[in-house]
Amino acid sequence: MDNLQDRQDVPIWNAVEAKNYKQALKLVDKRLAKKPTDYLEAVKTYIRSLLPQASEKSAVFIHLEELVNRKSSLSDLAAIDLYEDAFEEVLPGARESWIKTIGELRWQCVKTLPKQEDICLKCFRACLDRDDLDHARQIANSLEKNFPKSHSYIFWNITSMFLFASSPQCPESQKRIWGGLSSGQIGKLAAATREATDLKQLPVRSIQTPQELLLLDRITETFGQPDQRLEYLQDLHLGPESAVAKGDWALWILKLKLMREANRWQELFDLCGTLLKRAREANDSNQLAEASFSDWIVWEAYLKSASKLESHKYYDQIRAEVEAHLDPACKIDKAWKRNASLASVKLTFASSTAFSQNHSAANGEVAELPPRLSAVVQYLQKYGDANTAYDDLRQYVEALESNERARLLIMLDANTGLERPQQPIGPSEPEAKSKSEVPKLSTADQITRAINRFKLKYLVMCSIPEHERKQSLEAKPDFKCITCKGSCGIFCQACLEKLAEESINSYQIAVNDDGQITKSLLTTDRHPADDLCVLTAMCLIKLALIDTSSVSENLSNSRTTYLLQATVLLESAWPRSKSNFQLSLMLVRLYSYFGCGSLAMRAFQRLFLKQIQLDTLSYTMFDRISSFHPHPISDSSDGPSQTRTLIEQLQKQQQLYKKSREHINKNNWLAFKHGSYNAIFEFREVTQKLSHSFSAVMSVIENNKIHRFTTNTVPASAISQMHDLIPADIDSPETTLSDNNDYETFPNYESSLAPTFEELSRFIPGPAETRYRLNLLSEKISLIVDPSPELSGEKTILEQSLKQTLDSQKQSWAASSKSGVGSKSMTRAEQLAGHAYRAMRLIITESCDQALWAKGDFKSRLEGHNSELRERLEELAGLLEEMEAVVPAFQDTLNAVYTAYEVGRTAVYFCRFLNGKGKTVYETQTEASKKIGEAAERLIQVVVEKCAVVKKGLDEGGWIDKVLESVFPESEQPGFPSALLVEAVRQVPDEVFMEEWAGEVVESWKESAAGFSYMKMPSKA
Amino acid sequence: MTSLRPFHATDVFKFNPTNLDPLTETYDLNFYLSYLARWPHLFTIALSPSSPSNPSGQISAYIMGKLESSPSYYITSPHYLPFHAHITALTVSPSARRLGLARTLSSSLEQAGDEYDAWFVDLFVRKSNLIAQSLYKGMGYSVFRVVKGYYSDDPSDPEAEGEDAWDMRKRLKRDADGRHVRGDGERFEVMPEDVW
Ligand SMILES: CC(C)(COP(=O)(O)OP(=O)(O)OC[C@H]1O[C@@H](n2cnc3c(N)ncnc32)[C@H](O)[C@@H]1OP(=O)(O)O)[C@@H](O)C(=O)NCCC(=O)NCCS
Repeated sequence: MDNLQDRQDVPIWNAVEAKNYKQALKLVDKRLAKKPTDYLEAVKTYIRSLLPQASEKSAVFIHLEELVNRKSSLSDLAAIDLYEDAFEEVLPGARESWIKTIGELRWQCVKTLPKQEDICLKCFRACLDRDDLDHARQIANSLEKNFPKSHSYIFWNITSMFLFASSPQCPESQKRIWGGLSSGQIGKLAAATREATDLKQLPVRSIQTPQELLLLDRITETFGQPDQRLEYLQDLHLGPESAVAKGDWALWILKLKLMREANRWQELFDLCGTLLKRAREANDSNQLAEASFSDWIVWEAYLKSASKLESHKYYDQIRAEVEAHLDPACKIDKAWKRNASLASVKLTFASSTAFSQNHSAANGEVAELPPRLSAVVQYLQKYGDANTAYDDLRQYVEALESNERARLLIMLDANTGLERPQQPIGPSEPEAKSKSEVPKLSTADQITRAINRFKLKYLVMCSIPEHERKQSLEAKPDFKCITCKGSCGIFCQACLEKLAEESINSYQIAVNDDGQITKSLLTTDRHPADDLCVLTAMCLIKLALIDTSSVSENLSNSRTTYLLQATVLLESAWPRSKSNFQLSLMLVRLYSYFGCGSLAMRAFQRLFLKQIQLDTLSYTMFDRISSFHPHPISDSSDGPSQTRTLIEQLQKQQQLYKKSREHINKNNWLAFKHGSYNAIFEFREVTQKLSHSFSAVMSVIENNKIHRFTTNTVPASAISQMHDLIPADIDSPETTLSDNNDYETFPNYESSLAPTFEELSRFIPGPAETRYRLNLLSEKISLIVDPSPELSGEKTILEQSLKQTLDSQKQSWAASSKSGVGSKSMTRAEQLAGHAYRAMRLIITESCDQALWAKGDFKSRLEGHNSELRERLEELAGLLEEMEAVVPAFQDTLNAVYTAYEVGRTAVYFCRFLNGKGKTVYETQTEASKKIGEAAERLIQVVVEKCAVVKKGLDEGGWIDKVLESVFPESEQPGFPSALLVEAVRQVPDEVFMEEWAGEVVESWKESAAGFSYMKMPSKA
Repeated sequence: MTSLRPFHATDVFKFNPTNLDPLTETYDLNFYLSYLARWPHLFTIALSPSSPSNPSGQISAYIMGKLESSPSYYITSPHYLPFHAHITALTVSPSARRLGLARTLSSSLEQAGDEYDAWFVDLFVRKSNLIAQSLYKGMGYSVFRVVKGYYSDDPSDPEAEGEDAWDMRKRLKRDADGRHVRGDGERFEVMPEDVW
């Protein structure tokens, strides 16, 4: 009863609460007859909006439109709030109509009561919440005019104008007007600050805070003169050093960037030199208060400008600065010192001056190395015990000549000259030179050094050559490996095996240190040697990719062996490092490949995803879950929250999207209140990303598919979820979905020029807009043809939307089916199903469109669509029949089986749906539908038969032994791991673990096959 | 390399390298956005090197801070806090630890505290989080008081009922004579409802 204004209204609201709307209306009419008020009118409209009749709902909307057009505007905010509630009942989420009605009412109210600050603010906020930017702009303008002493409202007005001008809501013709005005006005405020004599007492109309400066930059970027941004940032009163800027680092970042873009190289060079000097100089209280000026972006800009100025003297200056930073007397924090060391590497690469030669004479053999290699080695000596050394050096190692890389490899192999020099200055120790010792792996630092060495070896031996070979693949499919000199394909089996074996041996040594490190680990820690295990798994996965042969038995090919080995290693590393999310991410992928749904889910749940992570990482498990493991997962192992069903998990994700809208709105307002103007624009980006998220679309599709599959009914919220979570403008050709998925958190030691390991290890195509759009189409068709009576009201709307989108997508799809687009983003089964759905759509829309029937080629056109559909269904059946290695069913088999079943079942319903339409369908369709029905039923039959084969196969005994034989093959065979590698892997898990794990894998296969029992021929209509 | 920049709202899509670690909580969107809406200059991230596949670099650490005093109605309370900076969250991804990033990030907040004339910087840390405590002690923070049962759980012990927090402080320039710090803060115990 929030709306209570008068005690006399209590009975009305009591009736509303009791859902006795008739009574409520009667009461309100009685009160209105006595004393009509805006408020009571609004109460009446609100009550009518609660009535279920469509006629009432449309009457409410008409009334709202009339209100807007009335001469006298509403000034009772409570009445407007009620109208807004009524609107929500009638047209939930319809933004455009909201703007035309409620937004307009709010603006009119502000116009009537411009001095009532509270009311104006409420209306402003309401418009912002609805993204009604034009009204928000007008209200902000009124606030500025009516409260001229307020500094904030000046900026609210500018921000609102700029927001409006940059949004699609603003008519093209007005963009320059509002943009120009915002830029002109903020320009004047900037001028006031610039000209101010007393910066402590700036006038109201001036720029006074860092956020206002950032807004100035943002607006000038879009609507100002090209050079103006930098001009502002160069100004003493407006730049990063000004009193107004309060040292905000964001302004420095902008300034450096713009100077680069403007090719102001000399100035930039001088500025960076000054900043870096200031960074290392102590102030009066002996503090390095400006240490953060030695940020990497300053070093980078310094080096970049030197390279543009093309004179050695600039490099000499940089060298001097590096030395000053690295001087032991310089007490700058180690995080900043590291930048100077890395700058030294970059400098060596950038300059032809053999800068490091002078320096490295002390470091034994480093002195004899070519300068660039020497720079890399010195960095490694110094920082090899930091986890990030590999990432820091990767791009430099890539830039080495191949002979330099070969030398580096020799050093890495022999582990010589890579340790931290004991005495940085002084004569080299003759002993150290020849010593090539087996590295100790008993401390975290030693282990990290080894890891960096192995990663660099991987880069030099494997990743870089693989990338180079890939580039020349067409010219030459066979290669001579530059490292082992053997012949190889893109991946060199010998090199990968060697590295895998070495690194797993090192891992084994590191973890079996009598438990020294292992014992001291907290449950929230990870073992420092984990990356050795991850690296080995990567090598094994690549080795698996070499084998592309198809054999009739899943467990007897080398791909399975390598991948099972990778899985075993990662799984046995996990108990020591439960918090290592990279182990879990890789395991989800591997178990998915093997078709072990419950184990993949177990690994996924170890990530404990929450909140926004449900948007960025759900794809790792839930993308395609409906064609992988659509039935409830019954395994529940580690942890308490395992019992949630798939649907519940997807719904939890969907909650995130709904909640986040509220959160963003709330904070948008807060940002206005606190003058954080820059944040407002960032929040808009978040809104855009979440409202168009790949993962949101995925969650809707997968949720509906799973529901339909397991219950044979239409998901209750199918339609509302589509409205809620699928962007309204999805079918517009300009709309693109936003890929917010996080692919970067996967471990990746690949060359920076090559695809990431996440991409390399996709056994099935990753998330892609083409596939999601196709899924949305198939979803709409499934809903339309669904025999369930519940949907009857919605079907016409869905059919209309099919038709509307047909035109907008026709061209792009015509192009895509020719060029075979989708082949990269979909499995073969998905592509065939996709063609079938497209044909269904054409048939549904065209066969019922009488306007088309008269066209000369209509009959043959329709025939074309029908035969396309039939042929695709037949092709799918053929694809399934040809699949040989299906026991146990790996991901590819599951995907084909479930995809085929789904399209087959939809096609059966599709025929019934058209048959039910009688004479409104073109006459030849009945005959055509019959043939399609037959093809669809045959397809389902093939699916059921294939599933029976899998089930029967799994029911036979001996699977645990087969798994164990596959992981550790008895005899050496070509293409399979060498006996040495097998032995090295075998050392890691103990026997008990192996038995148990193999049992889990087999159980998981059986659990997975339980989903087959849901697939049946649809009962006759 | 070490490179800092302000946290952008869209960084929430990329902070998994820090937030998948069990010692770092992932809150709802409101939490991060409300800090950006109020103290955008105190929310800073550190980046790892960029590459063609990840041109903006990966997030390797971040600090969330705020600047405020207790609400004015609290002024007579013995627990009233004058204008100060507060470290709300500080996290470094497991692969970027021990490089000095936490120290660098917390220094940046201290500097902002001085810039805005705050009295001190404070933070809460779990009694069991010895690593973080040694970080802060090394930077000149000392315990101001112990908040009994401040945390409702204990990540290293699922059986435990909860855990105490140490409220640690470091004075800033404004507190020239050290009015707001204590040398023996371990002896001062307060309840969660006393801290604001
Ligand atoms: C605590 C944490 C932020 C430290 O980050 P970091 O970047 O590794 O720390 P730094 O490299 O800046 O270390 C600074 C000092 O802290 C201490 N320290 C950091 N890690 C340590 C460790 N593992 N063991 C002992 N001391 C340690 C040292 O004194 C170190 O100085 P030094 O390296 O010169 O000896 C990081 O471990 C983390 O993210 N932990 C999880 C989240 C958390 O606990 N946050 C703190 C909440 S209040």
